[in-house]
Amino acid sequence: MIVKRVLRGILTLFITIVVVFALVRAVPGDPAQLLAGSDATEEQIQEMRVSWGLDKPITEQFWIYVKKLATGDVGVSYQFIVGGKATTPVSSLVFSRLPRTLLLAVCTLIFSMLCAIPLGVLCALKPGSLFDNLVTNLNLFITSFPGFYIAMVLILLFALRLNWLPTGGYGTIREMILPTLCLSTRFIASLTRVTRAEVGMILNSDYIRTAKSKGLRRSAVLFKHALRNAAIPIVTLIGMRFSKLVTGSVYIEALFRFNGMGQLLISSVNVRDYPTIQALIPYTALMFIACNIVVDLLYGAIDPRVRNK
Amino acid sequence: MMSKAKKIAWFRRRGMKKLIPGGLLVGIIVLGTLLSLIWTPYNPNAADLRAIGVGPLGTDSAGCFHVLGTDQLGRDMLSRVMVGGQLSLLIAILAVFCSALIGTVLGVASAYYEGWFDHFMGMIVEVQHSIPMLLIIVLVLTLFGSSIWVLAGGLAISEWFSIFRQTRAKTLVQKKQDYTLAAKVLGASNARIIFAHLLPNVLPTTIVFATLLIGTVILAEAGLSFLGLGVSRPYATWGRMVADGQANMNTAWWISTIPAIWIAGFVIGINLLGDGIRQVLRME
Repeated sequence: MIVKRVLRGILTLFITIVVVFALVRAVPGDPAQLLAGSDATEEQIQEMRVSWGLDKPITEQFWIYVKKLATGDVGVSYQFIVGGKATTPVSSLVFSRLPRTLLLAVCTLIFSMLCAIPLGVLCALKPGSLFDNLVTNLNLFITSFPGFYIAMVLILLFALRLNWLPTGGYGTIREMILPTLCLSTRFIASLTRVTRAEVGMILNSDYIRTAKSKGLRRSAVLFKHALRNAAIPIVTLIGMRFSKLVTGSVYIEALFRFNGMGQLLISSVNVRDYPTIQALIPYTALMFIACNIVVDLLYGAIDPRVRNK
Repeated sequence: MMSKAKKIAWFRRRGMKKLIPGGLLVGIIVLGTLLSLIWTPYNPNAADLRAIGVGPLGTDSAGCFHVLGTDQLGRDMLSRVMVGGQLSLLIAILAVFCSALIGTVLGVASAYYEGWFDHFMGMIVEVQHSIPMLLIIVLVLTLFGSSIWVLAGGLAISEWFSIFRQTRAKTLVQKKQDYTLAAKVLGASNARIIFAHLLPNVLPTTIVFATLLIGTVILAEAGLSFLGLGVSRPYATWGRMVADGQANMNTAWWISTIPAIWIAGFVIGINLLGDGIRQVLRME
């Protein structure tokens, strides 16, 4: 089953690579011309094209790209030019930016789970109570605003008015708190909703009534019976959202001058930085696919029925 | 004339508790936008030096009253949110219509014929999951230039598969029902089964999810405006207005907040409407 899943993942990755390669080439605009500047001579532009292999036929460019991708050598970025030459390898660019975005995503994931799962369970335990209504309505209210506006309000409140936290930057723990909080709001909302719905449904089922009438402690009923059965949809959502966090952080990165993957992506598209785009997408796609496979494997760990099938 | 009891019964129907406030919120905002086609309190695009940064319920130095205040260029906020709805709603409706069309056609076909086509669609959805949607939209926008149609198309491409998945799931269930099997046994053609039997049962789901999608698309468009990828100035959309007020957040909070509340009001209204329709149609 795992082999089949991984093969499917590889096929998806290959299609993704083809689609991205085709899309990037379909965008009008010659990167050599864009980066050489308006006063460059025709020979200089031609020289740039030759040095980047842009003069070769498209199919050949594609195979060179796939070969290089497989060996991890993804070429040189066009956009950071030092002394008239593009020398920054894309891989070093990606590996300097990736940890920032990943750190933000992991912090958000942990923080959101710590907030949302207890909240969802508490709501499910007392459906229709004041607390449940408050949380549910607050959820709907917050998710109805654009995410970046909520972030703007949080910055205004915590950084500009109360002066507790810095408005931007990357490095210290204090600089991570606000971006994490901003990126978490939507994730917390959806995770709370799913947890509440799933746990609520399970608490009404027959086997929970049986477990209760056996005289099991309430905590045992909740953690061993209810939460474990609610885990599959929750894990699915977390897996799906985690991969979305990486791209969702583009807005947060822009607001906090975070200089992560998202900003690299946007700037790369703006200057038609082919090598960087062509490396970024497979990398993110690989992360997405890996996430999905991990989620599938987790199903097996959580639910013996899946494992034995 | 309806009797009093009937009136009360009508208001107390299932789902009315959500349909009425939702309809009111969406109705007011849409009416404001329609009204702006023929009339706005002030010229929404005229900068006015005498009225820079007037707060809500404030009066500018020329003695003109601004219900929702003015922005950093002295433009009346109420006029601007009314006008901003024209593009925001147009883009959202176009995008949702395209998503619903693509999603329903492919969803029904995928579930009805199954086989290789269904596998192929599954593959496409998986690929789409593994490419960040933002990148697709960004590429489409750079490819065709940033116009309303392209923006709507890009949003449709990135959102169609939520409709696809719902329609496909619903069709799969309906296909196995006795009435479909009966139609098949009676010798109905594929086209007849799909159009006369399956679609009428699948469409309500599509309509509910398409309604809910309008909110998602409005929010997505706002996000793109924030990244500078939305429709270009001077056209106002709600998202662009929120993004443009960012620099003034500390001194004039209302410049971003009012369009943000407009968006939120609309999205809440749409969600209530969607839930209400679902309850009226008993789709829980």
